[in-house]
Amino acid sequence: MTSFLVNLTGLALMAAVVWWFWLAPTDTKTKS
Amino acid sequence: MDSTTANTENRLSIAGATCQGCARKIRVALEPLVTDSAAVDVNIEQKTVTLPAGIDPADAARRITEAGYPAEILHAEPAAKSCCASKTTPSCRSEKDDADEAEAPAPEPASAASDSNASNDGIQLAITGATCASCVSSVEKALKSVSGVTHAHMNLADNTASASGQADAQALINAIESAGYGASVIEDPDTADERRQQQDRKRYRTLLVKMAVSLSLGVGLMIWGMGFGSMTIDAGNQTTWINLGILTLGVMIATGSHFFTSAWKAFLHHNANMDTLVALGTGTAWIYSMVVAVFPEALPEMARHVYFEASAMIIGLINLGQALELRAKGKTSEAVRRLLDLRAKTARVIRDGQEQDLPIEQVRKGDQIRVRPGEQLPVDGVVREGNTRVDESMLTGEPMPVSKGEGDDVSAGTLNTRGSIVYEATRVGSDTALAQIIRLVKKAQGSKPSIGRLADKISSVFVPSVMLIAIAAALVWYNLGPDPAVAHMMVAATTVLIIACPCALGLATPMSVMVGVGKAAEYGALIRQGEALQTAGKINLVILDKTGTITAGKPAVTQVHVVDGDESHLLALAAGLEQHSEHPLAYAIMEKVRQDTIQPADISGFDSLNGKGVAGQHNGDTLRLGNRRWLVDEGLDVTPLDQAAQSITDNAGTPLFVALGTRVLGVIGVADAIKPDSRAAIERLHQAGIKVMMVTGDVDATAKAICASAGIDDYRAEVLPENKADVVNDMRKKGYTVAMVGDGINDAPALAAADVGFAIGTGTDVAIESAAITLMRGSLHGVPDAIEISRATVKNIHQNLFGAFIYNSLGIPIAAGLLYPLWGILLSPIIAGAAMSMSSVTVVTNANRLRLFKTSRKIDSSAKQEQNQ
Repeated sequence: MTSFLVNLTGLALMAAVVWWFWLAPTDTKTKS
Repeated sequence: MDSTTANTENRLSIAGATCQGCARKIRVALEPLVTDSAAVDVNIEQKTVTLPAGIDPADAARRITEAGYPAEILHAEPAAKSCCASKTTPSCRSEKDDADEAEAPAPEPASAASDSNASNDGIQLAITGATCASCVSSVEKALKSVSGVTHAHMNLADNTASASGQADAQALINAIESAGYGASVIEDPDTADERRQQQDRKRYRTLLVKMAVSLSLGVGLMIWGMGFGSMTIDAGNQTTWINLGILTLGVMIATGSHFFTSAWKAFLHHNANMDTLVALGTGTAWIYSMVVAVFPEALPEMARHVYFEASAMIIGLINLGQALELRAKGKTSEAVRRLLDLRAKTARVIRDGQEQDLPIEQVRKGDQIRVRPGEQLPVDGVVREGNTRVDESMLTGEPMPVSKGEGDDVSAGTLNTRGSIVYEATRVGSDTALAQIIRLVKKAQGSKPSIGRLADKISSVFVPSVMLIAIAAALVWYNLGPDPAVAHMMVAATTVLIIACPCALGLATPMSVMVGVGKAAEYGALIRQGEALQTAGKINLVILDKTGTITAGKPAVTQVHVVDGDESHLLALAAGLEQHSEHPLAYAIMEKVRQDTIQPADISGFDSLNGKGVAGQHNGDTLRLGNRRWLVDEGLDVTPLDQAAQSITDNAGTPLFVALGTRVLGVIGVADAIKPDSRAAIERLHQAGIKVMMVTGDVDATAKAICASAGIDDYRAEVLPENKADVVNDMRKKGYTVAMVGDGINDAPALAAADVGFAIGTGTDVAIESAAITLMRGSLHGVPDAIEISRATVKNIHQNLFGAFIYNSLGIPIAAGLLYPLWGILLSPIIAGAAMSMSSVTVVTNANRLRLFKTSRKIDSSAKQEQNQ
C-alpha cells in the first residue's frame, strides 16, 4: 500500500510539473 | 481594388538605419510579409518605413526590430485585421480606444506619454535577482508580455534589460516584479554603472557574511554529528536534533531566504529558475530530516538519518559561488570602465578673456578650452591656437602620438602630450566621440550572438526537466534501490536538484561576448553586434576596397617625365588647369606645386571633359591634360611618352598627359600610395588562412600593380562603386564567408551585402554606422585583430557552453545514482552544492581568461617601446 502511494504521489508530482510549467494557461501573455 | 485600402498605409519609425544597406536589410526582414519587397518604402532620412496596405504593422515592427533596427508604429491602417484579432498590439489599442472613447479615461498628453514610453532605442532597465539562464528567459518573457513591446532583451552579464516599442516604463517594471525580480529604469547609464558597482560590492559583502554563517552551522553540525553524536536519530538525541533542525531552519531563512522568495515568485508565474532548484533541494533535505527527527518510528531504522548539515552547507556553498561570480563578473566590464575613466571631470574654459575651471557638464558648444601638456582633453573640438602631439591610443589603438595644429580635430579622452593648445568645443556631453564609443561598446556587449540561443532554448525548459528527472530518480531508488530506500530516494532527488546548474549555461555566452567586445575596443575595433563577433571568426575571404583602405586615399605625384623643357614648367601648366578642378588627381598636382613653390600658369577658358581630362587656353594655344586615349583621338602623337607611361602604370599610378597645341609636353604620374602597414596586415590575414581580394574602379594594370606590391591574392578591376556589392554577393555564392572592408560611405551597399562589413575610419569618426565593425584607426591591422579576437571569443564561448553542457549532462545522471550499480557511488548533496557553485565560477573565470588575449600584431609593442624611449 505504502509503495503504491509513494509511486502514485511521484507520478502525480511529475504530471503536476508538466502541467504547471508547460500546459497550464499562464496569466501573462507570451508572444513567440 | 478595395477602396478602403487603396490609399491607407502603415508607417513605422525606425532607429539605427543609416544607409541603403540598412534599407536593404529592412526589406529582407519584411520579405516573409510582402509579396514585393520593393513596395516597402524605407526612408533613411526621415527614419520611417511605409508598409503596403494589408500588412500587420506589429509583425512588421517586430521583424524590423529583430533585424537590428528598433521599430515602432507611427500610423496603422484600419484594415489591419490580423493584429486586431488579438487586441494586444499598440496599433489596435488606438483603434480600440476610439471605439471605447466614451468609457475610456482621458488619454495622457502626448508628450507625457512619450516621456515614459519605450522609445525607438528602448527603455533600459537594471534588473536585480536574476541569476541564471532561466531568469533571463523569465525576464524577457515578462517584458514581451507587456502590450506595445516589440523587442525585449536581457543581458545576464551586467544585469540589464532593454525593451523597445511603445510600452510604459512602469508597466515593464511591474511585469518584471511580478515575475519575481526587481527592476528600475536606467536614466543615466553612467551613474547607473556606479550605482550598480556599489550595489554589487554591498551584495558581495552580504553574500560572504551569509556564506560564513550557513557554512559554520553546516560544518559544525557535521563535526558534531560525526565526531560526538550521531547523524541517525535515536531516543537519546531526538530532542537535540529537533532543536538543531529548528536552528537550521532559522539559518536557512536568514541566509537563504532569497532563494525561497525568488523560487516562489517564479513558481506563481509558471516559471522555474536556479533558485527553484536550490529551494527545492535544501527544502526537501530539511523536511525529510525534520520528519525523521519528529516521527522516527514512521521510517525504517536504516532511514533515520538527518541531513540538516546538507541544507545549511548547500546554501553556504551557493552563496560563496555567487559571491565569487559577482567579483569575477566585475572584471569583465573593465574595458568600458577604462573608457569611462578617460572622461575628464573639469575643463579650463576661456570665457570673456578669463580662464576658469568648470565642471565638464557646464562646458558648452563653442567654448574656447585651454589644455596644457599632460592633461586630458575634456570634449571634442577643433584646435584654434598652438601645436601639440596628442596621444589617441586610448580611443584608436594608434600607439604613436598624432601631431595637431590649427584647424585639426581633437577628441575627448585623448591626452595632450607636448604643447599647450586652445581649442573650440564642437561636441560636448553625450555627443562626443568617446561617449558614442562607450554607448556602442556597451550595446554590443549586451547583444547575443546566435550561438547563445541554443543555450537559451535549453535553459527555458531546463529547470522543470530537472525536477522531472529528480522525481523519476527518487521513484527508481524507491522501487529498485537497496535499503534504506527512503533515504536513498531523498538523497538522489536532492542531489539531482542541487547539482543541475542553469547558471553556467546562462553565463557562458554573455560573459565571453562582454570580454571579447571590450578586447576588440582596446584594439580600436568597435563591434556593433554580438552576431558580427561570431561571424567574423568564420571569415575566409576578405575583400578590400582600394582607395583609403589599402592605400592612404590621398593621391600624390610620383613621377614627372618631360619631352622637352623643364619639369617646373610642365607642372606649372598642369597646375594652371587643375586649380580649377575638383578631381582628386587635381589635388595631388596642386599639392606638388605647393611643395615645390611653383606658380601655376595663367589659363583661360577652363573646360572639364568627363572621362577624358581638362582643357584650357594658354598663350593662345589649347592646353590639354588627360588620358592617352583622348589625346590620340585629338590627333596627337604620344608615342615618345609610352615607355614613361608604362612605368607609371606598372607602379600603380595614373599617367596624365600634358599637351600644348599639337605638341605633347610630358606625362605626370599620380598614384595613391599604399599605407606603410597594409602589406603586413594582409600577410597576417594570409597567416590566418584567409584569402585576400581587392575591388577597385582602377584599370587592370593599376590594380595588378597594387596587388603585387601589397601581396593581395586576387582583384576585380574597373568595378563601379555600386557594383562592389555584386562582387561580394558573387563570392558569397561561391561559398566564401566574406568580409568587406571599405570606407563606410561609398562602400555602404557592399559592406551591408557582406557577412561582416568593416568600415575603416580614420581618427575617431564613429559616425560610420553602416558596418558591423568599425575600425577607429585607418590601419588594416584592425581587420586581422578583430578576426583573431572573434575567433578567440567564439572558442571561449564554445569552451564555456561545452563545459556547462558536459557538467550538466554528466552531473545529473551521476547525482541520480547512475554509478551506484557499477561502483556503489551515490553523490552527497553537499558535493553537488560545491560542484554547482564551481561550475558557474569556472565559466566566468574562463571568460576572464580572454582579457589576457593578445593579437598577433607585432608593430604595436615595438612602437610603444619607441614611444616610451
